Amino acid sequence: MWFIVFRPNDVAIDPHSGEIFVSESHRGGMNNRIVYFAADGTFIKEWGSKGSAPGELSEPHTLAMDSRGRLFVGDRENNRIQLFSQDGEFIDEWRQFGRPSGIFITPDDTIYVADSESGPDTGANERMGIMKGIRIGSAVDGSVTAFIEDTEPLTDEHSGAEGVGVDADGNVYGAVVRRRMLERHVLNAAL
Amino acid sequence: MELPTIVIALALLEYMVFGGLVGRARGKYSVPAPATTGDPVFERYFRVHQNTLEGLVVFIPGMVMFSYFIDPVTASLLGLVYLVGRVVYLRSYVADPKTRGLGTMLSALPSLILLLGGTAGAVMSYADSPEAVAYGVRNDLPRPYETQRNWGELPEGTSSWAAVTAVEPSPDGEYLYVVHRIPT
Repeated sequence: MWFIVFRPNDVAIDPHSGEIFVSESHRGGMNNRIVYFAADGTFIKEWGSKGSAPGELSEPHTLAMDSRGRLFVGDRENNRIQLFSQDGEFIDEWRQFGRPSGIFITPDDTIYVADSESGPDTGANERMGIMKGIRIGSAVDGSVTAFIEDTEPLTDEHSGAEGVGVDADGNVYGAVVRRRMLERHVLNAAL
Repeated sequence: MELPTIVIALALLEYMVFGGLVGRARGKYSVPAPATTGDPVFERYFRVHQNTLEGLVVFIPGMVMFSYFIDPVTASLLGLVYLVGRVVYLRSYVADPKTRGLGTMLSALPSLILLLGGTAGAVMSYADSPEAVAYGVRNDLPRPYETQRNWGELPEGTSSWAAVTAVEPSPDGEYLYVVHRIPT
């Protein structure tokens, strides 16, 4: 039994059931969907199609899961995060975190969203005036409380962290594609 | 900001040395305090010291403004020209005040560039600053983090990062996994 995905972007695994979720495709790709597999790799279901209505996707670039098992899909070309149940039921859309390239959710449901692309429209529906960087808030109520401004927050080019990770001490790591480096962000109080 | 700080410190030390020269000239040319006139050579040292003080009013803020809004290295190079210019000014003024032109130019011109450049940089930065909120996304949030660029030591056999695309801590918190994409 096998299943073909085209230019998949991200994988999320439910820590309790071991079930697997894959988001595809990358910019201009043939699919815009989430694929759901059992822990042994058996296909369960898929959802999503190209579009901007609730539940529709355009370049689902990143995928994360909160402590309740809800899926956070970084619907990048739609400049929003969409929340789904594991059965693919649309719950909500959040635009306050910017254009999501990377999402990381810690066990206490703090959400970190990396925006690496906001700027002039290159044909992928980017938006001017939004600074690139990592926005931090609550995965429970969607409030945004802090910002890690990228070193090039307003460049025309795509830049800044695409991938984001957070360690147990709360240090934030940004995977910066264009500048070819790893960046670490430390809370000032911790220095 | 290390370089501009060093240059500013040198400018202040230079100013203090000029003050010392005034003190020495008092004794040498017998002009006891509080008199500021009485001997033409003494008066030249005195004027150089005063003129340097007047110049610092523009030079120091100019250094800071230019460093912050344009570039600290360029500011420091301009500052070095100023430092040398002041020495040229001192020597020529003491020898013959009519020959002070070059020294004046070498110290006034960098100061003027620092001031105008710094001002232009501030105006441009202000004009470029984005709105507090765009499309419902806030740019004006608190920024409590300090960024460490180029963080992490690469494993042996890897000389530099390729395009870094993903970073993920291991479940036990022991490791950090980093994916970087090497062009094929």
